[in-house]
Parts: sequence; C-alpha cells; structure tokens
Amino acid sequence: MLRTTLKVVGWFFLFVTNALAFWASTFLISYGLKSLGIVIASLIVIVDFIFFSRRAYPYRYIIPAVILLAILVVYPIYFTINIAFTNYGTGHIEVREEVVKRLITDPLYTYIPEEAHSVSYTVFVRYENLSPTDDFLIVFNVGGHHFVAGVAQPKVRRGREIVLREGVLVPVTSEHHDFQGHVLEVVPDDFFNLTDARMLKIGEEVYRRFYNPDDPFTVRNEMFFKSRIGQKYLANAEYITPDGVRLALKISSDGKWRFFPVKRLYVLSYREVEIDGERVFKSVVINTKTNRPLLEEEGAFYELTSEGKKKFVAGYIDYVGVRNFMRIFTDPSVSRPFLKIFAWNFTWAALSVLFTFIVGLSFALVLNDRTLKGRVLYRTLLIVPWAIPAFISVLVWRNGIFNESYGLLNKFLLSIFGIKLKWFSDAFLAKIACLAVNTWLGFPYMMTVSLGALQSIPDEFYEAAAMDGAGKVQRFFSITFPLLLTTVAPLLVGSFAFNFNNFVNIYLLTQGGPPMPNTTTPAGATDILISYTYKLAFEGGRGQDFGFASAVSVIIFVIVAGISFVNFKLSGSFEEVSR
Amino acid sequence: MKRTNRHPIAHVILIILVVIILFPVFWVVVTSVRMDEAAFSNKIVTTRLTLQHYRDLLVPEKNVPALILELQNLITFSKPFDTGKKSKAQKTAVRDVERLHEYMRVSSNILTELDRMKNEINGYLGGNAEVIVEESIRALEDIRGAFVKAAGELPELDPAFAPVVFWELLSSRRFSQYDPFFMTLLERYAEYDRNFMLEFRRFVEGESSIVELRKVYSDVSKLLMSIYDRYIGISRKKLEELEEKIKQFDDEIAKLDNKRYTMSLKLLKIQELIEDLYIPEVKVMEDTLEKFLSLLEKGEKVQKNVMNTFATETLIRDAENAVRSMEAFPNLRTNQPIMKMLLGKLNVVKNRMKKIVEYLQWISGENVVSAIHVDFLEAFEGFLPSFLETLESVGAILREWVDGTEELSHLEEEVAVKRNLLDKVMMEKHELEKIIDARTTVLLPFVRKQWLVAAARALEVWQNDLMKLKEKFDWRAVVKYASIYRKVKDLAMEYRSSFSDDRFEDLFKNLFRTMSWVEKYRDFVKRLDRFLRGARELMNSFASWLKLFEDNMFHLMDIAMGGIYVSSEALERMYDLTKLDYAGKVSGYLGVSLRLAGDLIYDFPVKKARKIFKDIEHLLFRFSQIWEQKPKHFFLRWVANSVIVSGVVALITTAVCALAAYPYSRMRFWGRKYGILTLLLIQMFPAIMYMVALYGLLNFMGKFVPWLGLNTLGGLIFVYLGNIAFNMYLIKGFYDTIPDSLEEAAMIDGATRFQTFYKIVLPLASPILAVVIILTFMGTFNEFVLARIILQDVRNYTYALGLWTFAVGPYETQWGIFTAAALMGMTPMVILFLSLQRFLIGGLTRGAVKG
Repeated sequence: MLRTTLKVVGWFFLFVTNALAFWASTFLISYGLKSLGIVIASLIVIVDFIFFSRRAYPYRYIIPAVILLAILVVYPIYFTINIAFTNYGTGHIEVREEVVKRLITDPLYTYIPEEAHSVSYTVFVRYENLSPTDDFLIVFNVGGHHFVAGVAQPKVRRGREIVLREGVLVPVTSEHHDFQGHVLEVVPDDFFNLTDARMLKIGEEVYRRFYNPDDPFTVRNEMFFKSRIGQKYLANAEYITPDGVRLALKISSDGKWRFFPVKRLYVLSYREVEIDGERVFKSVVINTKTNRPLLEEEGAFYELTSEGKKKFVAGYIDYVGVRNFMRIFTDPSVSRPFLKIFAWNFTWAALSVLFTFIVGLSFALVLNDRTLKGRVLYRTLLIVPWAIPAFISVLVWRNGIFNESYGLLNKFLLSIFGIKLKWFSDAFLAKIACLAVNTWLGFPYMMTVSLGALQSIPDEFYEAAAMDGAGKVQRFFSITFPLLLTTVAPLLVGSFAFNFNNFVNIYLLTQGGPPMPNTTTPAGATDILISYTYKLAFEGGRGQDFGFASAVSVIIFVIVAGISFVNFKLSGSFEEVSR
Repeated sequence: MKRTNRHPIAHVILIILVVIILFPVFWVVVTSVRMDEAAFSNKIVTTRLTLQHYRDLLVPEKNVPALILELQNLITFSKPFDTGKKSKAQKTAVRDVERLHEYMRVSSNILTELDRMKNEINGYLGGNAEVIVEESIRALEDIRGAFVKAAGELPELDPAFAPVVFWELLSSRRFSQYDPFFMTLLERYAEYDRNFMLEFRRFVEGESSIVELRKVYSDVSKLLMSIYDRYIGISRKKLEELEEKIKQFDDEIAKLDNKRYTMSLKLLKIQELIEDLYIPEVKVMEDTLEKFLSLLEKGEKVQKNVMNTFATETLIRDAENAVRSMEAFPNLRTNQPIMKMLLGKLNVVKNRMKKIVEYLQWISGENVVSAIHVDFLEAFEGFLPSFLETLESVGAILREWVDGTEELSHLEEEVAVKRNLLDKVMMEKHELEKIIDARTTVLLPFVRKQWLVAAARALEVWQNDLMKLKEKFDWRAVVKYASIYRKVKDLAMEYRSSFSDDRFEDLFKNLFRTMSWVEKYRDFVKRLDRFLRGARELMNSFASWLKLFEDNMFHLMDIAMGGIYVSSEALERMYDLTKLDYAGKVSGYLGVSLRLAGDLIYDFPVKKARKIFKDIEHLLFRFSQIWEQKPKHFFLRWVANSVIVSGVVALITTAVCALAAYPYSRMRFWGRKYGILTLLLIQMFPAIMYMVALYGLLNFMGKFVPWLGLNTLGGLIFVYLGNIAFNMYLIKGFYDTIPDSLEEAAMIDGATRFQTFYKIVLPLASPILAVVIILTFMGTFNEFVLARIILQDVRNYTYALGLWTFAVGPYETQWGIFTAAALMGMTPMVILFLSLQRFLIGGLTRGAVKG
C-alpha cells in the first residue's frame, strides 16, 4: 500500500518536473537564452531516461547532484567562457531584441512636440478611514473635453518590471458619464469643470479630490502623490485619448509633474542589407524626429547629432570576438598592470606556500618529538589560527594590527623606533603585510600535514641511519625531508592553487590597493587575478565590465587547470580513480 | 641521548611563539570588553571592563536619540509603523515617552551623584593633605640631595670664567624676584663681582628696592654679555650666520639643478624632434637637390633649343639667400651623433645648392638653353618655397639647440661656482664648531655646577612652599601644587635637554609619578564642571520640550492618520538637542573627563578615593550610552541570516551528497570513473572564479522567481549548493567501510536496493553525515565573496558581510563593537573546528598521507 502511494507520488512528481522543465526551456529559448534552455531540456531528457530505464538505476541516486552541478558549476563555466567574447557590462546588459523593444516602448523614449501644452489633470483618491490609499481615478481636461481613467494596465513587461502601462481614456460629458459599468457621479454636479470637482462617486466607492498641480490646496498631498501613485502607476504609463493622442507624465520646467501629449521617439523599421553576400532584412531603429536610423556600432545604438558627433543611446550584448583578450596583450594601459598582477599572483602564491611550509614544518619537527610533554596542547593552540574563520582574522589584522594610524604595529614601531610604516599605501609594505597575514593563517595547515607525514616515516630508518653514524642534520636531509616531500608535494601544489585564488585575504586586507597609477582598469599593487576580476566586474569606477572580467577568469581557468593536472599527476589521483 | 636537557628550552621557545601567534586572538578578547576607545589608546589592556559592546550588538538599547527617531516615525506613521493600528501606535508612543522620562531621571541622578562624588574626593584630599605633601616633599628632597651631591663632585668655578658661566645661565631667564633659581644665580654671581655684591647685599638687607636691583642687573648683564660674546657668543652668532648661508646656497643650487633638469629634458626633446622630423626632411631635400643636379647635367648634354627663359633673377636671389642662410647656421662642434648627422646632411644640401646657383647663373647668362633646363626651372620654382620654409625651421631648431647647450654649460659653471662657495662655508663652519666645542667643553663642568647649586636652592624654596599646603588642601592648594609641579618639571626637562645627562632619570620619574596626578586632577575637575553645567542645561531644555511634545502628541497623531504630513517642532528641537547640542557642548567634556577619570584610578594619591574614580567613570560611561547617537546595525538579523543560509545549505548539500555517494560506493556503472575524475577537477575551481556567471544567473532568475534573485537569501542558498564534490568523497569513503554483507542479507529478505540504502546504510553512516552537515555549515558560514556580490541590502547581509561593515567606514575606529562581533562569530567556529579536527585533517590530507 505504502509502496503504491510512494510510486504514485513519484510519478506525479516526475510529471510535474517534466512539465515545468518543458515550459522553462521553451520559454528560455524564446527569450533568447538558447544555451540555458537547451541545457534544461537535455537535463530533463536525461532525467526521464534514467527513471524509465532499468539499466540506468544507479543514476537515479546521482541525478540531483548532477543537476546542481550542471546548473551551478558547468553552466557557469560555459557562461563565463561565452561572455569572455562579448561586451557584457554596464550599458550592455540586455540582448539586442530587448533593447530594441525598450527603445520603442519605454515612456522614457518619448518626446513632447514643440507646440504641445501640458494637459490639466486632477487625481482623486479613495480614502480608508482617514488615510488615503493608492486606489485612484484621474481626470484629464484635453482642450475642454473631459476624460476619466483609472490605473493604466500593464502592456509591456520585462520580468517583473513593468516597462509600459497603457490606459484608455473614457470621455465624460453631462449626458454620458458611465465609467467601468457604473454611473459616475460628480460633486458638485458640474461636468464642465470636472477637474475642479471635489468628489467622484462610482457605485459605492467615493473618490476625493487629492492632487492637482495647479491647486495650492492640494500641495500638501504632493509627497504622497509622487511616492505612492506617481512613481508607481503613472511614471511608466501612457493614456490614450479617443483621437489617439498619447498623454504621458513628464517633469515640466516649473518642477511639477504634468501630463503632456507625447510622441514616440523611435520606431522600428527594416532595411535590406548585405550580410556575408546574402541580402537580408535587418531591423533598424529610426528616430522619428529626424527620420534617420540610429547608428549601430560595437553593440550599441548611437544618435548622430547635427555636429556629426555620436551620442550613446543604448547598448546591447554583442559578440566582440577576442577583443577582450587582445586588450590584455595590446592595450598598454591594460597590459602593463595586468602583467604586474600576473607576476605578483605567482609570487604571492609561491611565497605563501614557501613561508607557511617552512614555519609549519619547523613546528612539526619540534612537536613530533614523542617525549615532549604537552604536545597535544601546543598543537591545539597552534591550530587556532586555522580554526578562526579567515575573514575574521584578516579583518582583525587589517584593523587592529596593520592600520596605519591606529594599528598596534605602528603604535609599537612609533614608541620604539619613532617611525610609522605605510602598510596599506606603500606597494611593497602592503605586499609584506599580505604575506605575513597569510603565513599566520596558513602555517597550521602545513604543520598538521607535516606532522602526519612525519609520523608515517618508520623509526627503523632513523635507527639504521643512527647506527651508520649519521648526524641529526644529515638524518633530516637524507631521510626526513625527501620522504616528507614525496607525501606532501601534492598538498603543496594544492596549497599553491588555493592561494592563487585566495581572494578573501587580499581583498579584505588591502582591497588590492594601493592603486596602480596610469591604468584604465581598477588595478592595485597587491591585486591578484581573482580580485582584479572581482573589481572589474563589480567595483569598477567606470562601470561594470563583465566581458573583460570573464576574459581574465578564463585565463585563471587555464592556469588552475594546469596546476590541477600537475597535482593529479603528483598525487596519483589518476591511478587511484581507475582502481 | 640527553633529550631531557633539551626540553625546557623547547618549552620556553614554544610558549613564546604560541603567545606571539595567539596575540591577535588575545587582542580581540581584551579589546571587546574595554570601556575606553581602544583605537586611540596606547595601552593594549586596561582593567576597566564593560560588556556594553556585547549589549549593543545583542540587545541594542533604545537610548534617547533612538527613541526620538522612533517617535518621529510614530507621529508621521511612516515605516515601520505605517501598517499598524492607531491604538497600538499610541501605546508605543506613550511607552517611548515614559522611557524618555525614565532616562531623564537616570541622567539627573547621575549628575547629582557625580556632584556628590566630586565633593567626596575633595574631602579625601583635605583629609590626606599631610601624606600627599610629605610624599611630594620627599621626592623633591631626593632630587635636591642628588643635586647637591653632584655639585660637590664638580670642580670649583675658575673666577676667570665666572662672567661667561653666569651669563650662559642667566641669559635665557627673565628677571624675577620670585624665581628662586634666578635669585640664587644672582647671589652666586655676586661672589665674583665686588660691586654687584654690594648692591645685592643692600637689596637683601632691604636697603634698596627691587627696581634698583633690576637697574643694576641690566648694567651688569650688558657687561656680562660683552664678555660672553668675546669668549663664545660671537662665534655662536657667526655659526648661525654661516648656517643661514649654507641653507641659502643649498636652495640656490637646488634651483639651478632644477633648471638644468628642465633644460636637459628640453634638449632631449629637440634631439628627438630632429631625429624623427628634421633629418627625414633634410634627407628629402638632399635627394631632391641631387635629382635636380642630375637633371641639369643631362640638360647640358642634350641639344640646345632657342628658348625664352623667364626671369631667373628672383630664383637666383632666393637660392643664394638659402645658401647664405645655411652658412649663417650656428657653428657647432658636437659629437652628438644625431646632430652630426644633421649637420652632415645640411652640408651636402648646401654644396648642392651652391652648384645649382652656379647653374642658374649660367642659365640666366645664356640665351639658349635646352628644354630640360626649362623643365628644371619650373620644377625648381615650385620646390624653392618649401625648401626655404624647411630651412628656416631647421635653422630655428638648430639655434634652439645651440642656445640650450650653451645655457646648460653656463648653468654647469654656475653650479660649480656655488658648490665651491658652499664647500668653503662648510669648512669655515667646521672650524668654528671645533672652536666652540673646545670652549664649551671647558665651560661645561662650571656651568653644570652652578646650575645644580641654583636648582637645589630653588627646590628648597619650593619644598617650603609645599609645606604650607599641609594645613588645608583645598582647590587653591591644588592650583598651587600644580604650579610647583610645573616648575619642578620644567627644571628637570631643562637639565635633560641642556646637559643630555640621564643620571637623575629615576629620581625625575619618581617625581613625575608622585606629583603628575595633580595636573590630571585639575583638568578633570575643570572638565567635569563644564560637563555638569552643559548636561544640566541640555536636560533642562530637553525636559521642557518633552513636556510640550507629550501634551500634543495624540493630536498630531490623529492629524497624521488623515494622511496629512505633520511634524512636531518640539520633537525636532529634542532631536537637535541630542544631535547638535550634545555633540557640541557635552560629549567633548564628557570624553575628556572620562579619560582622565580612567587615568586617575591609577594615579590618584589617596588610595581610598581611587574607587570613586572608577564609579565616576561608570556613571559618565552610562550617561554617554544614554545620550550618544549610535550607528545602526542589524547584528542579530545578520547572524540569523547566516544561520538560516548555512543551515539550509548544509541540509540540502548533505542530502544530495549522501544520495549521490551511494552508487559510487556500491555499484558499477558507465561513467563512474570519469564522474569521479570530473568531480576532482571541478573541486579545483572555486565558485568565485565564475562569480560573474553566478551573478548573471541570479540576476536572470530573479526576474521570474523573485525569491531566487539577487539580494535574496534564497538566491544565495541556491548558489552555495554548487559545493558538492568534496563532501561526496567524504561520504563515499565512509560508505566504503560499511560491509556489503548487511545489505545482501536484507536483499535476500526481499528489501529493494533503495530500502537497504535508506534503512541500513544511512543510519550506519549517520556520524559522517553529522560531520558533513557541520562542515558544510561552517564552510557556508565563513563564506564572504559570493555573499558580497549577491546581497546588497544591509538587512539581508550575512554575518560575514556584517562584520566587514564593522571593520570599514564609520566603524573603522570603533574597535569595541568590531571585536565583540568578531569574537561572537569566531568562538563557535573555533570550538566546532577543534572538536572536528580529526575529520577535517583526515579529509584534507586524504590520499596523500597514508598509514
């Protein structure tokens, strides 16, 4: 009985998943994200196969892990490589179709014709007890004719964002005053001056006069009107009169929010162009004011001004080939800092491993002595720097110890030697500080693995060596060290790989600073590639440059893959796996 | 083997190293409980402790500024009160006002208490006047004794040097009857000057007034000065002059060097220009002229026609001009290769031009020339203007270069001259210094002796002055005591700096230790008084505004209910009081008296009264906690966010891994080997490497599934779920140790594969699952970067981000709250880590360390 229910539930679950995934993939493909759609579609096919095939039984266990890895690791890696060849970044965050859609629908891209005058309007709001709500009616007076409308209905959406609302205006006269299936009553009963009415009544609901930009008595409601009604429902709305005139809210020259008849600035058109020898129709965006098409270059739309200058209108994501990579190698303002960062990244990782290993091994050698009392206690105390979350330790070092004006180190130096060192504004000292902190953070790990490795060296070796008359030093260099190195070498390489991408230490300690001079990218003297990537993508003073950041990421991928390969070879992971 | 001998040293070294290594941890612990502002203190630890920072983080007290802000929100019904009911809001407002009253009561109690304590301390001072004064007198006596002893060891003054010695000491002092040091010096001097002795005796015996003595002294001082000058003073003045001169020379040389530098840069630029621009141009001229010449030569050979040559005179004139202007080029001898090349080329050009001029003259003389000649003339006419133009600019740049080099060599000479002069002056200075040194060395013992004698006498006088304070140690006595301390301190400082001798250092230190409290105490009382005055004023006006506000609070709320924006003047004034007046008139004095009270806990001479300072410090601290505007934070929320995210991630990750590890341990299937290999590889790429992609993914998802988007905890959890590979290994390794036979037995009894997994393997593997849950929890809790990228709203921050905000920006120097937050975050993590070390270390060294 239980088994059947389980099975039914299982089947139902599978069915729902299938339906959802099918919907998601078709939606994504239609949305322009073909790759993600295909990934999801193929995932669901694999899932189905696994659940319908007896032979695929073992995979049923793995499938959740595979899905997560596919979405969160494999796809992001693919995505990163993909956008390394695009201009994705500030100003280029949507695909072309979306940008075109935005250009021809967003009320932002409208203009007020020169001869146009503002249209008088009054907002009426329903009150709940004494407080106003955002349920409102709006009355327009267009050249003596009165119109009523409510909230404009969403017309164009992008995700959850409503790009455009459109509202139809209902004409109201003393003869015809039906609105939304009810009779519209006006207090006082004067349909010729509807914008001066004090109250509107539809059925049971009463709407009180709330805001009119020219009515000084309603100024006190301006804040509420702007924040709760204007921004939410009117700023992205266009009201259309029966004559087809579009009214939109603009900020007029006196600072008030007024409705104006507006015209769309851009329309879509198609032109025949030649691409790779074929004549095809390509969509172009035309400025209705000048009747000229927008210029399209390097993934962006430009307007040609009368002086012949290009004015940026909007950008979209576009493939730029290997331009991001070329910048690294050919643009001197990028390549010089990049090479410095590159060199420091390797120095940093290598020195970190070296220092932590030396310090860790020294402690391990002392603590390996079995006759030493309290070695467990020492070991536990020495592990503490590893046990503390790294971000906390780094912040403690940054704020308490290395801080240039308040840090303990500078206070100490000042009282003993009378000097203050610029730990964060001098490139060399900043590097020293980074390495010092990292040695502190990392030596317990090296100590622990060295201890493990030392304990695995059989005592007989030493006894034999001692019998042959080998001294302490000689024993260390001919037995301990070589044997130790064979076991810890892969861990050293692993540690190198870890430090190569040790973002937290660098970013939290120095934020990559001090900044390098004469660069167009946010590069700092202690930046490593990964922190540089982060700054490019999320902190650039000149906006976010995801494309370039991904290009740097791809380079890191290649390096890390190389290191990993060496590590697998060293540790024999390849053989271990094939067992 | 003598191993036992080594251990003590090993232990000592290990303990020292452990202490150094764990110092940051120690610092975090002690700083988190400090009452004073650690960032501005030179001490690492204090005994004055508080848990206030923890309280601020965990149960932030709504103090006065916070309550006022809340009331402001309440009466306007803005967030977070915009949704609640009116009655509830009113209740909150009443409670807030009640709390404000309570704070006013507490504050005014504190002020009264402070007043009382201040008087109590005064009482203690009066009661212990004898002890205090005696101790100070003893300290002075010690110094005096040492001075007298030291003076006795020094040689008696050679009368010949007397004027110089005394002027050395007197010249820096003002004439003052009340300065015992000065008067002693006069007295001593009198022994060496018969006339002055008479005058001085008369004054001492009361026969002449101080005015007369001063007149005599001014005459004497003139005499002394002239003797002093002859001996050493003039040399000193000379030395000063020389130093002035040296400085002047240094400045001038620096200026010249600067000029040289700019000039050489300019020359380099010119050379660059010549190389890049002028040499190619001259080269073109050279070639063109060569072509012209070959044309002309050809023209001679061919048949001559009768041709009318147009006026060649202007051409000749221009060409001759060109030759002339080339001859007028500045004559330079240089081994600069570029310049040489240019000159060589110009020479060629000049010669060719000369030849052309000859040809031209010949052409103009002939009536019959060939057609080629005519062609030449036309071409040449076209060429000449540009040629002249180029020549002109070449000439200009040559002149510029020559001027530059000349200027440079000129500067060179000037610098050499100045250097010479400087060296001479330096020599002079050294000579002079030697002389002065020799003379001062002779003088020094005498000067010191006189100084010590005068100082000892002065100390005696001050001891007597102190004696008088014994009877009554009131405020006036404090001031007097402070002024004596000031004088003694100055004396000690003078000795230190003029004789650079540290044999009395210990005595001086003892003196500072016994007497320095008075300055702190004096300042403390002054500041405390001003604080009390300021605080009373503040509280009085605050109380009146509070009353006003309380009266019309409900009316305002009623009006605000109707959607009308209201503001309360009283509330605004109260806000100003806490923000502006408190910061301007109260908090400064409060801070200083707080710090001084802290110092006086250790320095105050009456031991019994020290406890009172501790109480004062606590009261002041409490007062500041009530009135100070504190930065806003959401610490508890951050911790909760972290716990939620880490918990959910740990559970889901473990579930998924436990499931996925099973077939890897028990079954054989296609892709098993490469699956593991892929996982191994994936594990090497940390998620931050594709952070851009994860950001993009969440940005995209957020548009359709809001709770999975950017700036949501859901999105963050989702992103963290990618960290699977490592945990799968750990679990797989454990599964491998569970014997197959158990499952086989169950399967024989009819259990399905899933049932054996669910009912046998999982329960047996529960220890490792627990470990994986905790490890994942810790790993997620400690993650910073992805959280930084994904979370933007400060309310959604995780603990890691929150701590980061405590470390930067406005919190940078507020170490108390930062270390308290850090300690609370790291303690559980350290405990978890240490108790799970076995697994962590086993997992990390897996495969590498066997046996």
